[in-house]
Amino acid sequence: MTADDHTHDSGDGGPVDHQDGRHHFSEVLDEIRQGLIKMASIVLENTRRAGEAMTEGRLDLIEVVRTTDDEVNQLYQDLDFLTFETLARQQPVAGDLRFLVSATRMLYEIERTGDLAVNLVNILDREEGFPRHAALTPLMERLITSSCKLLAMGVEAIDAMNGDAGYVLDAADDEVDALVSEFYTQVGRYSEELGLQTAIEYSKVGRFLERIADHAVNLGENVTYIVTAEFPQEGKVFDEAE
Amino acid sequence: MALTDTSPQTMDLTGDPKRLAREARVRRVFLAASVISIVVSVAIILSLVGEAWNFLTKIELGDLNENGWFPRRGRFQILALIVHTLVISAIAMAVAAPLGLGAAIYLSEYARPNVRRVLKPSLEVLAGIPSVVLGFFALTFITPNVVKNLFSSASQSNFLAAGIAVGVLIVPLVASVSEDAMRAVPTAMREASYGLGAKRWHTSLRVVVPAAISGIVAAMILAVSRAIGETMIVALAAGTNGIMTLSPLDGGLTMTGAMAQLAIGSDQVAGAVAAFQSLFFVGLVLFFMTFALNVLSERVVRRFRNKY
Amino acid sequence: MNEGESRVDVTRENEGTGAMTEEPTTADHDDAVAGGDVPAPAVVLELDRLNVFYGDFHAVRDVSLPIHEHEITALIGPSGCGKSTVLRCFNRMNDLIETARVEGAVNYHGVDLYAPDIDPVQVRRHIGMVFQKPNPFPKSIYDNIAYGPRIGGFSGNLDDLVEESLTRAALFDEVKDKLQESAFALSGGQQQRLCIARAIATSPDVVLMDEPCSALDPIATLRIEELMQELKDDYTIVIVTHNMQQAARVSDRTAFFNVQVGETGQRTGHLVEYDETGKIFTNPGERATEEYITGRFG
Repeated sequence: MTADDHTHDSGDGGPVDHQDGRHHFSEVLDEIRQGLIKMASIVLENTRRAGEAMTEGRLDLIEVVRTTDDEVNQLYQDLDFLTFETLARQQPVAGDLRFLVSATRMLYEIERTGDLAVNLVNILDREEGFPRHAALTPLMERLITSSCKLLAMGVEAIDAMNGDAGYVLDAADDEVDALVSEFYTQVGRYSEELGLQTAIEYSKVGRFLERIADHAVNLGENVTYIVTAEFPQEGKVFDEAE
Repeated sequence: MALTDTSPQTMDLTGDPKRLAREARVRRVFLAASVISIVVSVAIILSLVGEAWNFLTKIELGDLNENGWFPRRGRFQILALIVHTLVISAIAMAVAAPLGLGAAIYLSEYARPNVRRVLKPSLEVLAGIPSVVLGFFALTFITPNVVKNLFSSASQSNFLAAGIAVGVLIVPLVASVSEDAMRAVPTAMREASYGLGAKRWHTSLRVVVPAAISGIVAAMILAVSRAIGETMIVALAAGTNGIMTLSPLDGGLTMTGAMAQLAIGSDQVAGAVAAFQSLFFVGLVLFFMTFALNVLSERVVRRFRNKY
Repeated sequence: MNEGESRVDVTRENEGTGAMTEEPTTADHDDAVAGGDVPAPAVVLELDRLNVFYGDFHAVRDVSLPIHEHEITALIGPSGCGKSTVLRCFNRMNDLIETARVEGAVNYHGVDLYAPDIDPVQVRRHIGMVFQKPNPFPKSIYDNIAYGPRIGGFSGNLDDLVEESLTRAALFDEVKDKLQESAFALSGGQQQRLCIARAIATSPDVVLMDEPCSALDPIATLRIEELMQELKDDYTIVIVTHNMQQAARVSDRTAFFNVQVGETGQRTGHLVEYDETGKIFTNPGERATEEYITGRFG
């Protein structure tokens, strides 16, 4: 197992490893990795912002979330192009190849997550408004916190490049799934009180937050793939020695 | 061919006996050629040694120190012959080395292909001139017109004329072997030199010649060997004086000249005890000298050879 | 041969590397990035409608190509496409070939190198060259490096110059204790780095490399590629390579040459496409380029 020699050392301007025979290439790989972290961090912050908007009815944050996502999309294009060009020019193999291919996948996951944050505030941006509910709002808040926590773990995983990321995040996702389940149940319970339209909007919220967490899990799984050359498998336990 | 034909049982890997026998015969023929060459050479050397020993037993060793080489009178100062030979060879090299090397550098580094095509064969023509002609040339042209003009005190037979003629004789040898050595220097090396902004003479003298030095030195040593062994020119132009002298304006007997005299029989007189055998003695000394030069040449080549 | 007693030419020593007076010229293809925010660096060398003939044989047709300073420009293409011929025009090495004739201009900081009063010997002191097979002189390592400066009349501290050249070529540490030993004692990769050090010892501002790695093993090759990336901070590098992956890895700009077979069966080389390397290898403009780099032909 190649504990990636290139992706975990010299961050920005750190000491150059003269044993590295292709350190210019390694720098590009690191640039892409840092780009992923940055992009995911922006999305994480934006998601928290969207969550705050939802739970506190902050209509002023809607535009901020949208504008921030434009920035995310630009980053996506730039990084995607860079990854693609690096694939073309550097003939990567083994760990480098796994990293670059996974990077294109992770870019997609992060970009979709960004879109989901926008989707959340779009719900808020209704003519009819988005009424808060005494019982549902705290639950929603817990759900938001949980999803964001998972997303934060995803960002962490890209930084740490730990081989068990996929397994860890997959396990953590259970909490989110449980909360989502509970959320749907509660929405169902109060659906008549809310009215059908609002209830549907509420269930969308649940769905978006669940998907945000799923994307985060995918990030973790890609990290596991990069490190171990395998995606996490059902019933398998991560073995450090592999 | 069906696959079954290539099964191990039907394949004969042991080789055709007729071909093998033929190969063995051919090998023996080539072996015989080398053995015969060696045997002949050894035989010649042994006969030289035999007769030379014969000679040495017949004379008193003091006779080797006598003044001058006069075999009829029993004076065998071998040193005189050696000195005369060396004087002529030195003069010859003084002529041939610069001329030959210069010609080689020109042919190898400067000449355009069409110039080279004319010049090189011309040089070989020079190599084809019989040495007797050159000896005559030395006697009838060089001595009166060149030597006597410069040094009026020179004698009719003199080392200078003979040396010049021998030099002319070996110029093609020096030029040819040196040129081959220089052409063997890879073009890439010249390109590297030009690429660094070197002019042509820089490249020739500072890169090509040093790179080819082992071949050039070998050429020189070869030329010296040839000069030492030259008989006709020196016989004609250097004269028969047996007294040792170092002056190029004098003439004198060289080793080869002495051998020629003895062989032709001008020193064969009844009663002169060891005169004829001295020929073999001189021959042996000559042989040792050229042998030593060959060994030296090989050592030098091996030491300075560059493996590109 | 016409490298004779011509006057000393464009002595650009005092101008340092890369005169900034040149306008960046955009030749046939866009040098500017898609988006055009970052202008291309100044042009150091430029071919202007270059044609090369060997006797009657038209080897290279109509090449116009600007080389930008502090970049690595790669010339790629199938064999016989004239890329080496073009490279050798930059430093007038084609003069060494009896039948070679050049039409068009090769502009170096604006001066045409083929003008009649230009001395090729001087040109080569500003535009150095590294060859396909390492070709050190049969001298010591020290004397190899010192050769160029010595014939150029260098009057400073030779020891320092030798050390600096070897350091820039990433070789000093390996040979600092054996500078007086023969250059032939080094390995192939080391010899090539020696040749690079030797070329930069004359302080050129352009270094031409004619397939510098083709005689080396893959590890030595990668070391030289890394070295090239470091060298481009101080020099402008033009490299001919038949290994297009190398061009992809190493160069900033790539020029693709191809062969055209004329009616008489003559194979003439010409420039097909010249662009930033990223673009060439992700989305080339010409079909011929794509077919070549994907290995479909050539």
